[in-house]
Amino acid sequence: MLDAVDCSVSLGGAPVLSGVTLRLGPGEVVAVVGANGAGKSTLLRLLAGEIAPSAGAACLDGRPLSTLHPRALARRRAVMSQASQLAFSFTAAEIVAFGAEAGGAPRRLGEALARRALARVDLAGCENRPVSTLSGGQAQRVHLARALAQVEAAERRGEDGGAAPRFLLLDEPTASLDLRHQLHALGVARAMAARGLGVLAILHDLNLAIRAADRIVALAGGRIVADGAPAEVVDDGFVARVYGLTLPVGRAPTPGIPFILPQSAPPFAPA
Amino acid sequence: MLAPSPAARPRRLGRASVLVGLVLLALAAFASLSLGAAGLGPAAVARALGTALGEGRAALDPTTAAIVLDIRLPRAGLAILVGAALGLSGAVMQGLFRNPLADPGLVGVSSGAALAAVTVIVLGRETDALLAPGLGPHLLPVAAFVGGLAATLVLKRLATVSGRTSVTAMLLVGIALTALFGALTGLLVFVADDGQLRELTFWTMGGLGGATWVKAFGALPLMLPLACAAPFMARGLNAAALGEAEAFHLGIDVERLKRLGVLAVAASVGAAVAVSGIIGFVGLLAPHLLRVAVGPDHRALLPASALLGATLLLLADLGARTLVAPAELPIGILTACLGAPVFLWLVLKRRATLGA
Repeated sequence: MLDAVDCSVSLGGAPVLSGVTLRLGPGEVVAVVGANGAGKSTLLRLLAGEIAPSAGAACLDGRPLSTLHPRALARRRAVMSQASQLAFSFTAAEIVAFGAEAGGAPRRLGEALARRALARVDLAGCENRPVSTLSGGQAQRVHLARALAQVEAAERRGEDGGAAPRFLLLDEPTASLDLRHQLHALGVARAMAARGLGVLAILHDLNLAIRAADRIVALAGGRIVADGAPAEVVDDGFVARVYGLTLPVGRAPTPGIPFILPQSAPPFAPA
Repeated sequence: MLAPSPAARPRRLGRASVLVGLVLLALAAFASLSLGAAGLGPAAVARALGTALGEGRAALDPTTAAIVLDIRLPRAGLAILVGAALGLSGAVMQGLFRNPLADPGLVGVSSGAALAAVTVIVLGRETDALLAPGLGPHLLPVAAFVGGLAATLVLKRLATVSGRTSVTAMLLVGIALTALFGALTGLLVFVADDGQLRELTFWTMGGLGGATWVKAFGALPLMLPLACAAPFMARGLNAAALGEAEAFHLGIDVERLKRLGVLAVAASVGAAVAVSGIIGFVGLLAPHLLRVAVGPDHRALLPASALLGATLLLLADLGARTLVAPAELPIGILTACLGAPVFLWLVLKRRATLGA
């Protein structure tokens, strides 16, 4: 279990999260949605152990993340952050192999896992290309592959009897991806959950979030304003609370699945 | 399912680069031993070395023994030591700062170390009597280490804004620090007497003249921590190339890596400056050439940078000794002649992104 219990976080003196309680369990895909600045990335960094809460506790299986060594953490969870700046000209395979090695794979196995993870994100053939020569979307997928290789290596290593669940934290995994690869990336996330991983992904496209996630967690102003199955929580009131928009939520074409059509928003005009 | 990987190519290249580096270093070392003002050729030197190893020094004619064993050998040894320390320091520092332009000589670390060393030379005369006699060979390296460390900490502090080290800020702060330390060194030169002056020229331009085994062994203890830590830092530096947060996600204790790296680099550069003065650009040149040739993976880059740094400095010293023989060029001038154009080229290549 990856838990945030009544967590508050301040960055540079400004409160970003207040009283957030969230549990990420094995086998589920949780989508985090919310307006820009609602605290989504901060929540992800909190669960990654990157920042400590000023109040409350962030725990892995009941143990505060801050008490775990970075290496031990790296064998239980992998993180894909938003577009990072690469300092030197590493190849795609090298970057993904760093993930595998962080998960505990020896070097040779790491290279094999890296190739497999790259194939998984539809980048077979790009192994030896420097990441700096890839497009933004391709580079994004390299980092997704790195996170996949990391959890896979950790799984193979089988510490804690291999029974302890691993977690995958993805900050906008679909950003700058084309439609096909957006669906593909979320398909990968679902497949990982089916293998028993807990997946948390920050998503901007509500319709994608509804299709991909078991649970939707909505943040507004640093607080959780909704947490539940998409069919239950996403309604007109939800869209108003989260985005401050009056948008009708439709039902169909698949019965019971809500969808949002921005075309039906009021015309662009000064608010 | 998991077939032998074509991706293994970069790694083998990495290993090969270390082997090639060793061969080049051996060749450069032999060239350095064989060429010089005394006109003792390769064959004579090889014979002398063989005799010294086999039958001992007494079997050699005293002049040959003095030239090969007392002058050229310690000088080559010191060049290897200092070059390796500078090459490795450059590679580690560039990894820590996440930038290929971070050369200890360029961003004020070496001049901070030199200032501290010069202070000891000029002001130390008065306090000499107070010091324990055995401290002599270690006092300069330690002072240079403290100076280099202080400069590194100030640099990192001033160039880092909310966790991100800006390249532009780093280079500008480096320029300011170099200028400031240079001015303070100048002030000390102004109050120095004639004997001290000659010693001081050496600090500011660098040189391996007057190398002895005592000097080399005095510097060695401060160079060892970086050499020993480097293999353990390689994975962390690789991960750090993705960013500090990403390195943490990959299981790296980033704060510890930075602390260890900064301390070990300052010690290593301080020791190098203490025995050879400011020799710039070796730490820039060696890692840069290697990133082009074998790629940026620090597991190969770090050992290869040490080897290439040593080779470059041996060759630069060879040039310094022979180009205007019997006089000697300050070696720092030679390395700057080679390194400055490369630096300029690096800057031009990244000109578009430097403003960021």
